[in-house]
Amino acid sequence: MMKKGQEEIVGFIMVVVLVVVILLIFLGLNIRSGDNPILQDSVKARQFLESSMEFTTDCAIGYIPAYARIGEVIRECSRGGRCVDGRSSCEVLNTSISGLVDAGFNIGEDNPIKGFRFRSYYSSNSSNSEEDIIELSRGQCNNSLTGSEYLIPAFPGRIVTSVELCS
Amino acid sequence: MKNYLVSCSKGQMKVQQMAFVLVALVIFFVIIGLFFLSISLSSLKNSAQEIREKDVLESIKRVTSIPEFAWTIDDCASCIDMDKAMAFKGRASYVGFWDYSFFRIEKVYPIESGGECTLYNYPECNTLTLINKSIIPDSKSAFVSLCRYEPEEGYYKCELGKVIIAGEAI
Repeated sequence: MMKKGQEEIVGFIMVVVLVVVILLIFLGLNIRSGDNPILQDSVKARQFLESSMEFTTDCAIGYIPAYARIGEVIRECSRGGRCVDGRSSCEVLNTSISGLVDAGFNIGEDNPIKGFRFRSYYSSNSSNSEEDIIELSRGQCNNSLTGSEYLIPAFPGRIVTSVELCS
Repeated sequence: MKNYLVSCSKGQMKVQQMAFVLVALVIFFVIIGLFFLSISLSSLKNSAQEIREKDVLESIKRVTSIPEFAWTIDDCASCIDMDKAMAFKGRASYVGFWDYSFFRIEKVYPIESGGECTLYNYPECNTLTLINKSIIPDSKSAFVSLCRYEPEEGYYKCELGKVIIAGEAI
């Protein structure tokens, strides 16, 4: 037979345990979402990628004036190709992407977009392997990510280009 | 009389204790509820924002895909023929064609220093304003590719741009 005081202590402990369990659940959820930020599809990022892929660079491939678009330069960079003037296609890609992102988005600590990540990689259909072509990032990336992907066919696989905007 | 008062105050104490615990529990669950509500509302806001962005994109795509603007050299849904857009500017037959109060095509990259496009400075210019009835702060924009023929070297060149529209028709 329990005394009244003991009953109250048991009740109090149960309430404390309940509170602690609920707090732990929230904490766990927060930590998990911190480890794996969820990438939400962004219309703006998709528009940016689609339009950027059509951007004509100053890298002529084969002959002048066959100036390649970003999509073609990415493909050329994955093959280790060079422009007619001798520059590396990856170098041109790097410069062009930096310029496009800087001009397209106001990235900075005081702006809504704190950072960005641009990645292009070759993905083989058969081996599920990924080979990086270009990776650029700038600023700070917290949990909130929005972005989009653009696919370029490159037999026997594909080139996946993604842009992630961090807020 | 004294015994009655003592037992009554003990009972009151018990009731008070229980009431405090109940109030604390209610406050706790209300906070939890508010937390969930804020999370669900923020996701609702995100989806509303996404739908609005998609709507804007659709209306801008509708505008840019008309034959007067469409880039037909290759298959590109996000491309605008800047030469056509330039020819479109100031055409009297197209006055009142759209219900927009503001319509501007802006070059984003590479940035030129020419300002507004005219027949004299094109293509070394930055913006092409087609409608400018009033500037509404709630204007919408979408990235596009601005393509044109480069006559000096004889190739087709595309640059990154933006279409900015405002008005009740959006």
